[in-house]
Amino acid sequence: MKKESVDMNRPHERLVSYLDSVPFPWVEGTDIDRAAKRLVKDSEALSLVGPEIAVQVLSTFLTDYLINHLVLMFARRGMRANIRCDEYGVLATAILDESHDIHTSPPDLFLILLSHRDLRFCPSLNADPETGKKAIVEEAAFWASLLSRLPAPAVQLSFDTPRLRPLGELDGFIPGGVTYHARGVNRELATNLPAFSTLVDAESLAQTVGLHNWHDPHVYNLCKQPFSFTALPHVADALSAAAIGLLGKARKVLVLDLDNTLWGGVVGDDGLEHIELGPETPEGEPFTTFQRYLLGLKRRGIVLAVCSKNHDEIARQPFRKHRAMILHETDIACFAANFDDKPTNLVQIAESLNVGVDALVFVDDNPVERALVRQELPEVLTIELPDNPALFATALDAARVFPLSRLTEDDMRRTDSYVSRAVTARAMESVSDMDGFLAGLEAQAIIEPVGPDNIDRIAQLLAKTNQFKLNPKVFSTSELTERKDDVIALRLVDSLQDYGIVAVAVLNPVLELDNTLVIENWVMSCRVFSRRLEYVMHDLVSERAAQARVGSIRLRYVASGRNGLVSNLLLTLGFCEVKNNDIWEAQTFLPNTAGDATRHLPAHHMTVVRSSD
Amino acid sequence: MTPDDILEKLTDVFRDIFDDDTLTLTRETMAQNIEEWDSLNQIKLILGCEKEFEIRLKPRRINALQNIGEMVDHLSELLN
Repeated sequence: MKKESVDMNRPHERLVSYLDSVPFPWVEGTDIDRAAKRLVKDSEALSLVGPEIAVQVLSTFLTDYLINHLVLMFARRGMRANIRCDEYGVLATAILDESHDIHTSPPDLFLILLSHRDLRFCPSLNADPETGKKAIVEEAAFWASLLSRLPAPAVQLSFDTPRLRPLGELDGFIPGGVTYHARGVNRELATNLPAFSTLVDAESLAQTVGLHNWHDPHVYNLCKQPFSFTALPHVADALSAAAIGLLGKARKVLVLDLDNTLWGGVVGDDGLEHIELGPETPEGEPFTTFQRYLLGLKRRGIVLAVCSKNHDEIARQPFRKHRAMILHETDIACFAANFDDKPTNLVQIAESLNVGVDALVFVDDNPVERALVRQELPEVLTIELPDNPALFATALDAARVFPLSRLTEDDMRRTDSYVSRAVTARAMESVSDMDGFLAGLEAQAIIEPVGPDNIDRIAQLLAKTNQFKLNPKVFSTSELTERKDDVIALRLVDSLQDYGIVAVAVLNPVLELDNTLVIENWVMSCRVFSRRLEYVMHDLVSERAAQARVGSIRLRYVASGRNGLVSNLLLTLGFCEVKNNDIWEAQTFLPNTAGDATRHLPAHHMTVVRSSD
Repeated sequence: MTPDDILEKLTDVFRDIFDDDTLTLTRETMAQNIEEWDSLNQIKLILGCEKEFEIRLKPRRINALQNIGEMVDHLSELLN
């Protein structure tokens, strides 16, 4: 389905040709180097890539060859990376020197690249376990402390393991081995990572290409790059994927075809009893493996949807009746089985899940369907599934399309929330009385104090939310912990489920001379839109202001292209823009007092309580 | 391998590294004649030649060569 002649005079077409030549995932033998070189040289095509991100590479080795690949890998994920890499070897001094450029004009993202040669606390060969453990802790603390000084989010390459093992097989098993030390440090570092950093597993990358393909002493001697040119694209891909995840831009939804994707055969033609699925046969086993992998994704917060050309009833049969199905109907947040074209369905799936089309990943065994989606909806990431079903799961895994930097309780609960919301949406259709319906849910808005058990979730919500968010200001977990009295975090619970913490506002405690309480930022998860929780938050902020005898509330609203719904809310709440400079103000009133500008707001029907712990 | 064969293979290596199918080399060609021939590409050229000619090169020796003609002569010495 590829167009044979690309009009090379048009930058957009050139860009598409570079990116299409490295699909998700790419196969061995793909000339990634060529695509990277061409993209980097083609400034017209580059300028079409997408939002720019300033990336600073800090490393202890030469990274010049990595740069082109990084640009390509970020571009494949929709970001135009502007990469600065200073002379290598100045990593520690740059981080420790507060007057260095990286502190005075920080980038959007740091890439911290190290190798096992940088380990400085390796214990002696005959170290006992106690000494070994101390060395690991000391080493991890050293690097964590450096990382914590970075003024922007950071992706760090973990320590690789050496090719040379003078201790032979013991190198990985006794405390004196460098391999043992490196693995221990990686684990320890991962447990103590500062907020807004994440690790890329170098050992896993080395395993992907094969350790003897990872290390290349000849290349190291020539140019001090500690991995081979074969490994280069994998390193770049993993780093850019991790960065996307860290910055809250990872895709959230996986849309699955059914026939010959989740099972072998066509259920509408072959009948339920004859589809291939289950560990007993070589035909069925790969689909079982694939479903198990998909279930694993769902359990960590990826939302699954179905998009199949089938009658709805027939498509649901295997989920309901086939004993070898691993995925159940309740694992699928949105089920679209009909005979409309897939691009139309994908748009509707995105709408019903309240996400952008660019949050979708599409999996379909049929190359014709894939080509159509690629053409009509290039914002959807279409996986290049191989022909052999035995390779479906590995292909999806290798594509690195769902990077994860922190696993939180809410990730674990996400699909339940979507499924519950789909149920709610259906129920609402048949209930003309919205107030009666909301009251019937018996919802509670619980004010949660900031603590170590919810700080990650609060920081994640502030960082990752796109639609209900006032402005781009972010907060580190250490800042939030220090300023916990300024933070209002709300958890929503109703008769259907516990949604977890879904709204956060951060207030500035300093009352300006002009008698104003400032909301530094305010976010709310799209999962609870139309629940009127924003009115609860507004009440709480107003209460604070009134208690402090402050006359008005101020906030900064910066339109991002995705948070347009906030401007309507602000008007409803009585805010108005001061002088066209993104600053909005409103008068303070306690709710339902005389002069309350918001008394015409509909009731939210929630009980507001403080968390009992 | 004749000097002409060597020049032809060398041209293949250069065309691959500089991603330019029209690139031509003469004995007089020097680093400054090819726009992107910097120290980074120099290393790639060394690696490319090692692979293409199945030999090991000494970077210090290669970096001292003044033009393609000297490169062809040097490779000819190593190969014959």
